[in-house]
Amino acid sequence: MNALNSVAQGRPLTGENCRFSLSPQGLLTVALTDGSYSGRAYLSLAFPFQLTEEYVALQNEDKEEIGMIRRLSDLREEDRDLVRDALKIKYFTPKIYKILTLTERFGTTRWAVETDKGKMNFVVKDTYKSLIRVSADRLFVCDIDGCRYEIESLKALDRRSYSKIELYV
Amino acid sequence: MRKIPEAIRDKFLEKGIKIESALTVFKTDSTNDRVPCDAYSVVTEEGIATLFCLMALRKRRSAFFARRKAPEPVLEVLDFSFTPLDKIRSIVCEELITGIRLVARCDGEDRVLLYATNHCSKALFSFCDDFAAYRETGAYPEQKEEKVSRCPRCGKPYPDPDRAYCPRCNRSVGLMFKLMPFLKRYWLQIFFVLLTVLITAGMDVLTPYLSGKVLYDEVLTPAGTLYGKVLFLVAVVAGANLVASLAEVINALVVAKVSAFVSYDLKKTIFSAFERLSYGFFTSRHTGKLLTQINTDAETLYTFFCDGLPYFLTNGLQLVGVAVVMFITQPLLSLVIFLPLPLVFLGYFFAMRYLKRLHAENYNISSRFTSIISDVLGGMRVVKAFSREKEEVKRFEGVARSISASNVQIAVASRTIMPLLNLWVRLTAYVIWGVGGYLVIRGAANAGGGISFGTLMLFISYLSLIYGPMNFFADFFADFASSLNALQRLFEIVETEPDVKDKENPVDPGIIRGKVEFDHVSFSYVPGKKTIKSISFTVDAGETLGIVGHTGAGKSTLANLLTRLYEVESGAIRIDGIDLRDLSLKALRDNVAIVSQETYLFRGSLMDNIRYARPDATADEVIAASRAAGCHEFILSFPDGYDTMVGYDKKLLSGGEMQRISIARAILKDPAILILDEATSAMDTRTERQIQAALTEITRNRTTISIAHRLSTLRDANHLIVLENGEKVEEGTQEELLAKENGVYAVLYRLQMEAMKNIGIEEN
Ligand SMILES: Nc1ncnc2c1ncn2[C@@H]1O[C@H](COP(=O)(O)OP(=O)(O)O)[C@@H](O)[C@H]1O
Ligand SMILES: [Mg+2]
Repeated sequence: MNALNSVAQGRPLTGENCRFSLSPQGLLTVALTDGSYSGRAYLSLAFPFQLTEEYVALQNEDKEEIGMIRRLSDLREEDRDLVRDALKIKYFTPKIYKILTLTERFGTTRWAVETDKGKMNFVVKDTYKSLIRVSADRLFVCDIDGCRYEIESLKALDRRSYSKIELYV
Repeated sequence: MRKIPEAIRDKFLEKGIKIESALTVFKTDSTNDRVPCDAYSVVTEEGIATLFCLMALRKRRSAFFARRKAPEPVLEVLDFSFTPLDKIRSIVCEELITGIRLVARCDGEDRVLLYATNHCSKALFSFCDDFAAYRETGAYPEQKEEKVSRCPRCGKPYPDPDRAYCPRCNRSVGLMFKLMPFLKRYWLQIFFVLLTVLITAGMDVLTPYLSGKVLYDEVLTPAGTLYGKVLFLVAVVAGANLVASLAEVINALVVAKVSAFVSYDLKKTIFSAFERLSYGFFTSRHTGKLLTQINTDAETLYTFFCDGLPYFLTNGLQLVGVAVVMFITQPLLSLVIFLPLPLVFLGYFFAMRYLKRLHAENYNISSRFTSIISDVLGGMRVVKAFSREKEEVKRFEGVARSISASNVQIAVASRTIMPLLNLWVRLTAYVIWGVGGYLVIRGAANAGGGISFGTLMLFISYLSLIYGPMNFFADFFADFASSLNALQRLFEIVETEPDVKDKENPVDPGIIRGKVEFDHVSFSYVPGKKTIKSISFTVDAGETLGIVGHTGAGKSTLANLLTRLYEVESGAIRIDGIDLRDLSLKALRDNVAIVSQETYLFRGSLMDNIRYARPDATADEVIAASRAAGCHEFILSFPDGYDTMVGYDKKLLSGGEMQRISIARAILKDPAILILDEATSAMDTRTERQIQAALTEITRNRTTISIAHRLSTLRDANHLIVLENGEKVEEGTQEELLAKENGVYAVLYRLQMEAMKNIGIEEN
């Protein structure tokens, strides 16, 4: 493990060595206190399904890793919310709370759903494979264009909605 | 240019946007809060203006007017933004998880132009490209003809934008018609099928009439017209039965044959469609699953046409016949019999549907089960190496338990529902017996509305003809849907327009000398991510070009483009001056051979595998090619020599050995253009050296494109290009490249030399 640590540590980012701020246009920027990087902050979660407050990679425009925030609580309080908001924008997924219709035609399903952002319609190919089951209760639906929709809780769906997707989950 | 609705155009004009002189217009689908909306963006010389709005067709209140006038479009403007163009250096798409952020890089800072969902990604990425071209050249590129991603018949977008196939326009009836060409060749047999079906059904209706009504009312009743002629009646009934059975046998024989042939024809058509389809079709889906699916689909169709359809026709005709006879003889009692029929049918139908659902769930679990098993068995080496047996057993147990639970559920359901339904049918029968008995007694007492004993017997024997097949009918309609699905999937493959296909009059130049030109070739696998960026180079006939670059630089992609597995996006590839798109695919495939990183061995002998591209090659030729490729010796070391069967068990050959076999394959093909894509990557340096001599021999006087990791492999190349991230960064002979002090190639070369020295191998 020690050998691994020395080669694969990456650069830990904490409240000590980085400062986040919002540009006048509302985009997240970062400055490392040692001056090695300053500019737009591109964030990626290493475990987007399970750990949304940990292992946040900070990248530059070319997707090269600048460092990793082990957990958001390592950051200064005011930075934490900025990072959270930026992650919210990047990982935004409409949340389905009601399935209005779900029709299958030859393996392709058409969905009409109600989400927290309003009614949406989309098409899913290869339905069984396009559902990402994150836990027993939570899943993501991927449509043909790669858009994702989240069902936060299967149990919380009303009976009619649940019976429509029962076969696929 | 894209048409904008009148109302939107007015709004833009109101805001002072000169829409007539717009460079381009595009539409996106979301507000900055990610709420669905219609957003129109107009790019003019001054700037980029975006109007976010909601468009709805609101119905008019008054019903009277609503009928006369079309619904009025209602426009609600949510937001408007404007970014001056002079500040913008470039525009980029930033990929989010479920969407895209269009960002303008301005001097000093970045500005968000808009957010959109992935539905718009293609359009937005090409807008960014066009805008970059505009910034560079000052002229906005012509709007390319949008690749038809909509069905010409219904105008709706295709579910899979990369494949021109519309499931909506291929609905049930049309599907059955499409099967006609397959059936046409068997019209005589089909005529026989229909004839025998008619005979069987007719006889089945006739027999109860004879053995019921005629027997009791005419033969056994003293007043009957055939009184006492029992033998005659028995003979007639026996005869009818004989004819019916005969017809049934003939029917079964013909049907079995025809459906086997039709299903064979279908499979053949599908597999030949595979050849036409582009490579991309296969890489985008799981081939194993595809094949299983096709096989099951063909089987489903076979059972449908062999078992389902003839049985359905017979029973359907019978039902009609029975109904006619019954209503003519006794309308009232017939009504009593037919009244509960729809209910019974529905009962069976829903029961079947429920059971099918259980079966579908069961199928899903079982396939997960099989995939776990094949996963573990295939990866047994890894499982053992990491001693994960216990965990794997646990995983296995979990799924096994849910299978058994699902099996129990099915067993319980089918053992309770079906007997209950059958009981219901029998109860219906008792009611009819009761009513019928009452009517017979009324008939005997000569009261009005009575019936004869023969009529009752007739109706009772018809009862089983009516209610017996309900079970089957319900099943048939459920099966019908799945057969349509199967048919649909098959036609989907047969009718998909390949994106790589011969143009109308492809050129076949006969002899190809082998000059290869790449002329500003660009290509991307996924929209927005250019894998190849405007690459140009020329290889003269007989020359060798070496391609060097890091993993993922796009080297194999160049090979894929030259073999036309994918079509270039812009620019052109020419062989002997002929554009690849004009060259016939056959000429291309005959003259270009590739030895690639991954080798595939087909099931069969080594001999067959080596002469795969030229099945007529003689044993001498095969051995000569194997010698040249350095695989002769190890083949001889196998007990079965060239007859060794491979493909069943890959472990027989090492990676390097498989590569040598595929080199032999290419040598035997003797193509004008040879592509070696890391053809020796799995071999150790010594073996590589051994066959290097052979390779030098083969590549002499043959256009060769050699892609390699190990630079020493490329010593003989006349010419080298260095790729980095899909771009050509260096070009020249080895000396020229080495002469560049900090050139990519020179640095790589030095690094590799050092590594070689460290492990004790010195290159000259
Ligand atoms: N079928 C494919 N679909 C999508 N991306 C692909 C596909 N094949 C290759 N790529 C991507 O294209 C890039 C170039 O790949 P490739 O040409 O195989 O590289 P090289 O042969 O130089 O190692 C890689 O980033 C790879 O991930
Ligand atoms: Mg490669």
